Amino acid sequence: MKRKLSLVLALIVMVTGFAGCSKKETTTDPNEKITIRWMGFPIDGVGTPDETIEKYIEEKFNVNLEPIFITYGEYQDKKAMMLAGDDIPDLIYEFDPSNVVQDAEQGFIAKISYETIKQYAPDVYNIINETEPRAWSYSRVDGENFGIPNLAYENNNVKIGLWREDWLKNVGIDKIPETIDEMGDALYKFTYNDPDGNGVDDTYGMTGAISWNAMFQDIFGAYGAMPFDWVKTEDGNVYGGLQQNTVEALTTLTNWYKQGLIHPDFITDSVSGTAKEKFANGKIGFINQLGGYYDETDKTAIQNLTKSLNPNAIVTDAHPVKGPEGKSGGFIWGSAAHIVAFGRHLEDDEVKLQKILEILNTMVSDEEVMKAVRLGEEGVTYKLAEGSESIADGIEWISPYDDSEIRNTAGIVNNFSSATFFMPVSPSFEAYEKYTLKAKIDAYNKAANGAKGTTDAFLKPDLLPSSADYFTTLRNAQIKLMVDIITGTKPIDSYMEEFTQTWEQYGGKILEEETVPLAEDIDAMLKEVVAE
Amino acid sequence: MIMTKKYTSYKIKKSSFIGIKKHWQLLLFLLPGLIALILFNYLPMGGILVAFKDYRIRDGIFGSDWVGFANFQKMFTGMEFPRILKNTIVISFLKLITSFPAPIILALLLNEIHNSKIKKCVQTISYLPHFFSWIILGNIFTMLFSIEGPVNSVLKMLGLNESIAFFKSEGWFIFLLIVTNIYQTVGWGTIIYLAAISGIDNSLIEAATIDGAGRFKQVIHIIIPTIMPTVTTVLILNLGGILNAGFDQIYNLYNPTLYNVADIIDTYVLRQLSENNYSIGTAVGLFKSVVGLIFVFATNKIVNKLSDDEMGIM
Repeated sequence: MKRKLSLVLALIVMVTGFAGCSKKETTTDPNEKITIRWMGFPIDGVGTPDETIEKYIEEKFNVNLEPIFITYGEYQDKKAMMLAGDDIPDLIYEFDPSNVVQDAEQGFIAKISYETIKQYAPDVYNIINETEPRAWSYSRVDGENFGIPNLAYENNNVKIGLWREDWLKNVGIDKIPETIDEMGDALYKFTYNDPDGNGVDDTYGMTGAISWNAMFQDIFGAYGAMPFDWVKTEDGNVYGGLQQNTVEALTTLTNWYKQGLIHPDFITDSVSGTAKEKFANGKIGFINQLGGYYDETDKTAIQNLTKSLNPNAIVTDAHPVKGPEGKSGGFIWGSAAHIVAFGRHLEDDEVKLQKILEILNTMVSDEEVMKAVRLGEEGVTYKLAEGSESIADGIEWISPYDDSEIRNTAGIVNNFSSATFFMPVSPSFEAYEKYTLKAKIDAYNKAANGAKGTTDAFLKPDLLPSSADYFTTLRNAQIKLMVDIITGTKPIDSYMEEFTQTWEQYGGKILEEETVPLAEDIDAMLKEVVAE
Repeated sequence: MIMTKKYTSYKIKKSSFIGIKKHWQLLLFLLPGLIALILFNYLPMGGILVAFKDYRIRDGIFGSDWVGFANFQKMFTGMEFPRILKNTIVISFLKLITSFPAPIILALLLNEIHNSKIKKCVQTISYLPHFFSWIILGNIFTMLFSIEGPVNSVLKMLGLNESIAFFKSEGWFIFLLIVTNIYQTVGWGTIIYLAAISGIDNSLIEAATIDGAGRFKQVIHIIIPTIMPTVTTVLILNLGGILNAGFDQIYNLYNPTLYNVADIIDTYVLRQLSENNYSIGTAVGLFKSVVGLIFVFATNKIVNKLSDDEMGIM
């Protein structure tokens, strides 16, 4: 990792040493066939790109498309090298608001006014405003707009947990726990009543993870607490870790740990790593976040994994439990996802910019185009599955597209929730509901039971300008303190005092002050985008 | 020794131009290596300039504004710096005093094994971890040393009452870093010492045997003194990396609760680079290199003094 970084750095240094003399100033002639260098959402394909969708877009829009395929893992490094070498594509995919800020400050990406987007891509524009206008803050730098945010509807869903229903039956509980007390009771019996019936005391109730956005988020949610996020209150935005409900949730966790319900290795567990293994191996009976729809053919899905190791296992979805005041849910990222940006040179090339916006808008407004750029051509890459009346009932891939590797190299994704390589902007919510597999939406609706997640007041707590300087230290100190309290090293009463002290010592006050202008800026932005 | 001296003096007498003319084909062989060296080792050094500039990728190194020592000032006065410097030195020093002698001892022990099959086997097994990436080792050790893991189970069987929280207790975590570092480096480190030992003139050992010196005496009076120059060279080179506390290892083993002791210079640099603060990242890197260089020169000087210029690398 370090070597890779230093190599990247050295190369950047070398390349840019010689750069600067090769700036190309091009504006597009309206009569010419436009060439678009397209660096959309990275795909995991390796090997020769399949050109099905590329050809479709070229024919449909009479353009010459030059896709730049970069795999997900290499995207950030390669993007940085390309931009540093003055090799700037026309369309650039950005994952995080902080990337937009960096690239805007370095002068790699183009300013683009809300008016321009509204004029040439009205549907793209309206979809964001109808669902999550706050997403525009992701592409905003110093009061100006540098791209188009996109949405991932599924990130708006509350996180679904999983119970071992057979264990619940074995210990005499006949319904899925719905309140925090019922949950505590079930976890207790999982730990002490030998739910797997092997006669050995080798089970725990649950485990956890200690990254800030995953740590016991359903338990904190039951108390309405958001310990690592900004919470909107009457007195402005307050850091959730300084609110009393965080202490209430910690009290419950501390009691559970003291009773032995939480696996002692929760410190080193990760939800999709060792925690998943513990659940599949029958060491714990509840896991947060991994429930919901799953592909029955996917051997690595936790539900299949658990059943393959123990054929008698019954794994059941569960919505987050309710706390004493009836609250439930917990942290979610929300539907605002990533950002599509445009190369700086497009500021002087209106023809091309308008063409790209037109293409993006057609992908959203014309459902036939949308299907084609996501799934390929019907009858060539896919067909409706037997008994299916629409895509949402299920599709079958046609050879060679039944190979997921080939689909990856073609940029084909059966997903209408979030961005893809060729369609980096969001479909409308109606299109998402219309084309997403029905089984997926049904599974979610059944499990969620009306429960809703909560987003940060700014969607991402790191949107504050100084967050990079202070949040790492603050969060790590906070996590350590919480772990110390949960495991009984420190008393629960010490949390508020000690964390307030840490907060003041390590720059929390500075972050707090920054929330005021940021909130004002977002309010101003919302007025600007929604205004007619 | 004498031969080479003669040869060089002979060369100098002749005009060097004639030498080039005569051996140009040979010199041509040198060229690719030389180009590679200049291209990959010397040219990138120009990047040091970044440490003294407010570096913006788009303006390039030469186009960015000079800021003097502002990046260094920002680094030294930063609230994280005292902690990362302390952590780096503590971890690195503890690793040095444990991982430096370990391969010497192992090499001496291996040298005493005369059954070559067993010797080869032990050597291969002890090298092996060197080739494992820390991403893999990190996962393995996390499982082995977890509270419910095998290590703690064994300790419990041996009569320990409470499990050791290796990944939560700061002291035990440092211990874990040291032990796993020895495990990973010890075998690879023996190669150079075994080579040095095999270079020892057998007649010395035979003479000592005839004089009645046992195995232990041979080691103390013959083997260790003969490999001493190698030992000091390795020590000097190791001290050059005194501010490298082992990024790969720590990055793959630590978690937020250990941040107080495990956040080192390299993890700090990674954070700076991921925020595109290339200037600060480079300044920290330069600081590390300068400290390393000072250590190399200082130890070399000390070694020279102590050994009457017999040992050292310069």
